[in-house]
Amino acid sequence: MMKPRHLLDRLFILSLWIAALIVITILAAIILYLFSKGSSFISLDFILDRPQGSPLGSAGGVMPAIMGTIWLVLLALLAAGFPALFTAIYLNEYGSQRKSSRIMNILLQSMASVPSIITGLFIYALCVVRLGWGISLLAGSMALALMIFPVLVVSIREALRSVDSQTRLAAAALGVSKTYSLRRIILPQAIPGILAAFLLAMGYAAGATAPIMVTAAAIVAPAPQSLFQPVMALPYHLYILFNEHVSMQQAYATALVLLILLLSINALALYLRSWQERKQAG
Amino acid sequence: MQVLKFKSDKVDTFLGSLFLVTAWASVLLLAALLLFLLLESWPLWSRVGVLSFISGQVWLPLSAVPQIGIAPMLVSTLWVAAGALVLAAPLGLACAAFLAEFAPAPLTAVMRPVLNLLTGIPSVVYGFLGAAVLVRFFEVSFDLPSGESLFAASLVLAIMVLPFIVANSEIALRSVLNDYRHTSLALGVSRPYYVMRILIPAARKGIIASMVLAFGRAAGETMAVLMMAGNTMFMPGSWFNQGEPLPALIALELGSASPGSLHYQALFAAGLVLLVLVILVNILLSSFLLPKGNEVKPF
Amino acid sequence: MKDVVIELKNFNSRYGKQEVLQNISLTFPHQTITAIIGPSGCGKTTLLRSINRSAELESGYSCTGDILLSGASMFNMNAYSVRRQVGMVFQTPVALPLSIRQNVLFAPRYYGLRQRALQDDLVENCLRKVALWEEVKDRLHKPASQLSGGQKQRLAIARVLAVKPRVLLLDEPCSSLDPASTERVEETIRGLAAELCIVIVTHNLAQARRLANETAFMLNGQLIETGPTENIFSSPKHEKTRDFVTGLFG
Ligand SMILES: Nc1ncnc2c1ncn2[C@@H]1O[C@H](COP(=O)(O)OP(=O)(O)OP(=O)(O)O)[C@@H](O)[C@H]1O
Ligand SMILES: [Mg+2]
Repeated sequence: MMKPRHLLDRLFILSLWIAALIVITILAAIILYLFSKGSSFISLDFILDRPQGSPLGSAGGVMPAIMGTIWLVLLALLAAGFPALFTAIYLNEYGSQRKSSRIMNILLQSMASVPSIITGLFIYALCVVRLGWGISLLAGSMALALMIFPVLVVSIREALRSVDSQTRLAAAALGVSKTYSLRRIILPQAIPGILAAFLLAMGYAAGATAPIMVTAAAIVAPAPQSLFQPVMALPYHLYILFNEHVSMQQAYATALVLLILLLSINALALYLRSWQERKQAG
Repeated sequence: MQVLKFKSDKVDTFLGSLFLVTAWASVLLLAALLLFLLLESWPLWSRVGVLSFISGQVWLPLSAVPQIGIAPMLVSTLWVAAGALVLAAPLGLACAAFLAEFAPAPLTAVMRPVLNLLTGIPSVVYGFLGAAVLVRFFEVSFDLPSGESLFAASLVLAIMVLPFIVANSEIALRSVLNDYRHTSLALGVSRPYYVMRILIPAARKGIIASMVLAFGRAAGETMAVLMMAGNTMFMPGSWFNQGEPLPALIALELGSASPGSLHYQALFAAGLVLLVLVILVNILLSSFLLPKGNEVKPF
Repeated sequence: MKDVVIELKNFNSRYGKQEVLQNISLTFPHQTITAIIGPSGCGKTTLLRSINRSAELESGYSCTGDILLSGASMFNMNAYSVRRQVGMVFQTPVALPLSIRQNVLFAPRYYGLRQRALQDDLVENCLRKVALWEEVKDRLHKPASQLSGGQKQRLAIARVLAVKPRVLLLDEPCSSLDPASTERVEETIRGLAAELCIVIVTHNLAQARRLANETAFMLNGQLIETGPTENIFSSPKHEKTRDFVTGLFG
């Protein structure tokens, strides 16, 4: 009378294998396809040259877009970095028991869920229009800063949290001040994780299109020279190349440059993170 | 003997309050954001009214007699996001269960970082590939004048949110007590039965959370829908119609709306609706969807 | 002489490179309570999990030798059906995250028990056997996590009984219980001995003496001595056994 239901079990496991296979295939296909389409158009010239040809962008390269993206991302990190670090430290080291930090957590989570186009909308109204900065590098980096802030806080807090709480107690038991143990013990141990957090945020900002589309991006611009001028950016450049039917080849090449850039940043971040985890475990 | 002095007292209090103030100032930016959207769209609400704004079928903010309604865009947004979730949720959960319970260790060791890495691909790349490959494919193989549709957008959004669903669901599954597995398997039931009856129900909070987050992401995503949904302002009748979700509307029209005009206000109102939608989903998630304590699935 | 239900023949097992059980030969008869005693880490839990064939779910586990279940090698049988016939209750009481009723029905449903009436009978029957029925009959649909430690342990036994095992393996079932709950669980075990082969691992020597018909003493993965409980405690043959039961070490 008592028989295990082998057939059902086998089917179940089989379907899970298939699901995993589908997921991996789709994602691998995307990357491989992009490589196969884009790699033959990528050259040193493509990376170092300005957009050329008519319509503009159908020949030449993407250097100004790369420079624009780099500036946007660096300024965004500059603006969001310290506030995010402080907020994470506050949440993890000071306020973790208080009720107020529960509210702060909810706010933070809501902030992380704000669509990036809304961040763009907000900065557009505030900086571009009200403050009169116009469509500019500075406005774009503010939009990106606002976008990456919650992500930064959450992953810096993860890094702090992964520092053994025994260490914290041991330090506190010696009677040293909170900031002293932060500076001498906790932060140094969390450094790789914090670096990883910054890298992840960098990647996130470098790939974002919607917020800069309305606040900073121009179809053509020289490499950034002033904070108050529009700039080119890689993701927006890709959008324009495709959407305005400028050149499919250039679009594939640009997409590949963007992809390689972001995947390497992310890989570095993940490596740092796992390194810290291993260090904590071992 | 030298006297030990507690030297950094002042510095300590100073830094402590600095952290506190920065933290609050930063997260309160969210309130500022909400307020600002409200402020910029204020005249419109009194003129059009919330209900007719949301349920209005026509978007003609620039005509002589302006008509402003975002119902088609709102419906497109929900449709695209829900569609993405319908496609991604089963696949993502299955993949997470596979990684958490069934995958051979070496495979997990490869798959997990790869999936993590893929969360870094920006949406414009997905949108570009979707528009260049998928849309073309629909046009050619079904002989359509245009391959853009809500469905195509959902498909690409589903691929975009998959890594998030897998990662978050797997975390949820792994956080279930190991004792449950020992106990169950020692009774002679199979792993699949354990997964269906114990593991997934016990992890359902985290799983639902991962789905809701994915929904929010899909609803707020701009580039992929901008490039794939077709950008027509009619009320979509089916998944295979075209539409223009709210983020696309804002991205397309913001640059051409002159500040202070009715059009400008309407775009901020649309942004406010989108924001409130996403935040509501989040708050719902953290308070109502996940009641504390009650671990039991009622039969 | 009662029928032998479980027989280990030159059984060895290891986790990775570490040998945990060495050359164990031992029999467990029907309707008999056998106690296994020995210092912490000597491999008692591993022995039980090997007999239940759930040790092989751990990574790195391997074994040699043979275990017979009613005369046939259990490694030639289906692992699920071995686990069903050789029920095991773990050291820490685990309530599956289900209602009390569904905890009992968890495995039977997998084995195809669908009819409501039969389910009701089974639940009542099993809970009565472990003397839990009176305590929980009014809240069968409440989460099992609300039960006390002792109640959870008895529920765990009921859950095993629900698939009608022939052998019941108990790994320190009373280690996290107060004296009153211990008393009740012991009562339960004694009652079950009328129809089952029971093996109990315990650190409580008095409990072994109270409960068991047979006792086996293990040390460092080896079986040192086995025999009727009274003999082991009053006239052990082996010096190390004597040291252990008189409390000199362990
Ligand atoms: N999953 C595992 N992987 C590797 N080694 C294990 C595993 N489980 C147990 N061991 C090792 O096997 C040995 C025996 O462990 P076991 O749990 O059987 O001891 P025990 O006699 O039940 O001890 P206790 O009385 O403390 O419960 C120990 O050295 C332990 O470290
Ligand atoms: Mg043990």
